Amino acid sequence: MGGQRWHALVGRIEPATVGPGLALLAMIIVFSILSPYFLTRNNITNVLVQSAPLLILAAGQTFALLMGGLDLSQGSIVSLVSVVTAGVMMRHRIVLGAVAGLGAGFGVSLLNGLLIGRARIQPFIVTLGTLYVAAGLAMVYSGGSSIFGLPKPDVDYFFWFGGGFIGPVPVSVLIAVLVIAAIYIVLTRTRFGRHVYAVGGSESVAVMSGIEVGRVKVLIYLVSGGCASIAGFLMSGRVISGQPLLGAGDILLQSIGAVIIGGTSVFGGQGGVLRTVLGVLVIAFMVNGLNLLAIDTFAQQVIVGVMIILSVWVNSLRRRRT
Amino acid sequence: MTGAAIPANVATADAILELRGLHKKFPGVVALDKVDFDVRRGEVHALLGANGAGKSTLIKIVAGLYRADAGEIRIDGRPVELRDTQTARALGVSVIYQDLALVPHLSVAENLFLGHELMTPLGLIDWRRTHAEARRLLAPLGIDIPTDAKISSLSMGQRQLVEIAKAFGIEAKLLVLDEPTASLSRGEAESLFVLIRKLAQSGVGIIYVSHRLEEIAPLVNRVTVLRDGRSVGTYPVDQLDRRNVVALITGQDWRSSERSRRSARSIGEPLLELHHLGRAREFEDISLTLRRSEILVLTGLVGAGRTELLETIFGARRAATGEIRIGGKTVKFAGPRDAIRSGIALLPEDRRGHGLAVILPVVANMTLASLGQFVGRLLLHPKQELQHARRMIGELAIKTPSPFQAAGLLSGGNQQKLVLAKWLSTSAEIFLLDEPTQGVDVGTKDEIYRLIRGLAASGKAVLVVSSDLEEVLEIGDRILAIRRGRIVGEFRNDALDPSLLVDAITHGQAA
Repeated sequence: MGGQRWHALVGRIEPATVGPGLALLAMIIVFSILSPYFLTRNNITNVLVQSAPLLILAAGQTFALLMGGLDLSQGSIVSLVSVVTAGVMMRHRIVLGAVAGLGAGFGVSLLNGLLIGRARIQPFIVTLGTLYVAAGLAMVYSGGSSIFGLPKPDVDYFFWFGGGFIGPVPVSVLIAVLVIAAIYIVLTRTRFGRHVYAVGGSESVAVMSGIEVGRVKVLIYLVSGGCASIAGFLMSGRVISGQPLLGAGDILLQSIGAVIIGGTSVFGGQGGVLRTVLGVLVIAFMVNGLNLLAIDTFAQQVIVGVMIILSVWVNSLRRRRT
Repeated sequence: MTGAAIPANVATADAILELRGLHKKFPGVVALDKVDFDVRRGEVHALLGANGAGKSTLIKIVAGLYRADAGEIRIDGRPVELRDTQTARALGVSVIYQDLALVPHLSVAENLFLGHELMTPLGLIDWRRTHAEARRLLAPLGIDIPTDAKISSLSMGQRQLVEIAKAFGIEAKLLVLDEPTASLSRGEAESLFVLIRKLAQSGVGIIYVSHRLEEIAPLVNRVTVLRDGRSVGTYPVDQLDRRNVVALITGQDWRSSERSRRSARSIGEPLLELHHLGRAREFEDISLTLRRSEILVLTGLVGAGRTELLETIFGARRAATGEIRIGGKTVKFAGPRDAIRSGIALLPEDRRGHGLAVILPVVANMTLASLGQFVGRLLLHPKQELQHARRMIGELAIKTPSPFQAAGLLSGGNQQKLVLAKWLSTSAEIFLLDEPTQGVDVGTKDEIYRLIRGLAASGKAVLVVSSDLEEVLEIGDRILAIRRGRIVGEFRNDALDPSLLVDAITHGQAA
């Protein structure tokens, strides 16, 4: 029993997860009644494949929010990884392409981490800056246009990551699950994970307890940007091309929104990656359900926005009671 | 210095504020227990008491910040309900806290009219009138500060004066000053006293919270002493001398009491040595030796540089001069992390700011400084960690519904025990305890004293900072008095006359 309660520290069934949990359940019930197609294997596989990159992005974003910060550069990292991977792959095959692309993503993440953890600039400012820097670099590198016509057979491997299957299991979903499992273990069972909560709970207490707060912050942004890099690689593979605007849409805002809807506190210190999974599923299934019902995308945006505010409001009511 | 300007009619003047049977309970602590208190028109009434005696609870009730559980509050003879700070303000109550409520980047005039700005007919701020009115407010009070000066450019004393002028601007009938001289120089304090006398002469009633009687004796008319949430009496100031004030505040006649509880511990070799340690404007030339099995108490008033000294030893601040030796070796810490590795633990004064992450569970707080013990080859062992937490909760009798409870939901005393448990979980040899029983109920106080003695008995070295005289005499083997950042006296705690200590702390006279 003790062990079970322990998991509770981060992912327990508690008031914060009841809200999104109920929302997900209610949505599944309503949509499956309204649309016979909703609960088919085909549809669910489709939703999961589509949301795999978001799962990975949001899992990384969870670190930044747990620390009491956020990572605005995730979308731009996706774009940068996409064009660099594709560009290098054109001449040097997929392995070098992947190394260069993911390396570029890690480079931006490391820059974030050093500016936040060592130079002690606020995460909002730093990642707002690197949002522009990485987006700009992606445009400069690609000359502003998409990179098509990747060589065979590399292009098939590339697609395999983003859109392939192992038996009935989509590769991207498998990768997302592995990333989430790894992050869950890091957050619940490692010193670094605990330090993330400590820094988010109270930075000054963390310092006074001997925690190297600067180092923890560098690692947090490496994880967040690293996840964005992986997501960028998968998204790019799915469209078998390098797209300088791949991450410029609302994927960044969805990533932050999913973490918040999942119930991780924007003040840091409370939450976890399983909550984020819940948040991503809420967004993904809602968008899918509304699509099936032919409700237009603009109305969907209104609903996502309302849900973000609602979930924070509900959490702040709970907070005020204690 | 004596012969304060006491209006002749004070003794018969009607009361501005009357508190009858005031009662306030917090989880685990009775903060105020049937307290009676009153302030008359034109009177300066001192409220004295040790830390945790209930002074701040009382003024927070008068300010409308807390609501009393029971009791009656009358203002100008009429029963009132102080529901919130606005209600209290509307009734003429103005409270000036230690941390002033001025906006640093705005000017004196802007601060004086903050929230009730003077407008032109067009709805814009009328700057000419604002500055003119500000000058009109400051002049009769004898405050000579340009009205366009930024608050951040003023000294603490000047800020204090502006704050009082602000209270006067909203026509306060009752002014509450919470240790206003704590961070003032002597000259600044004098000009503050001049202003207070002026206000009293104009008919304002003043509550003056302090723990130094000597300083305020020429200023006040009556004195009320609180102890452990009860009023132990109200006296005209001329009926008291320092000695009976100390007795009233601590509740013990020290001359006759015997401190028999001190066991015969044999003090060991030096663990921590400070040599001429100094930091600009905080403390200077501090030299001391702390030995194994010894409890050394550093006492002095708030603002005497004590917390800063402990934080410097702990590596959270950098010393400007001097050196720190541990076990005979000179050390230079880049941060608390290094200090912890060298076996130092710091129980901070600011428990919620530096001691506990209040939103994290009890267990996570407990192991925050000792997590390495629970890591296997790669991963944490949650079971061991939990076992350890349960054991510590039992040993220290920490009252919590579960180890997963958020630390911030525990009572003050249990939070403090949790911070202690956090450091007991490390392998620290040197314990720095900053006001270890502040905001802690009486029962838990004794438990904490027992823990501190237990630490010394097991061979640890303990350096306690405390401004609670009773506590200082209760636990210290040796006592150092610190005043304005300098050590002004050293006392062996046997047959020590507390008034010598009080003298050293307040006047800097060494024994």
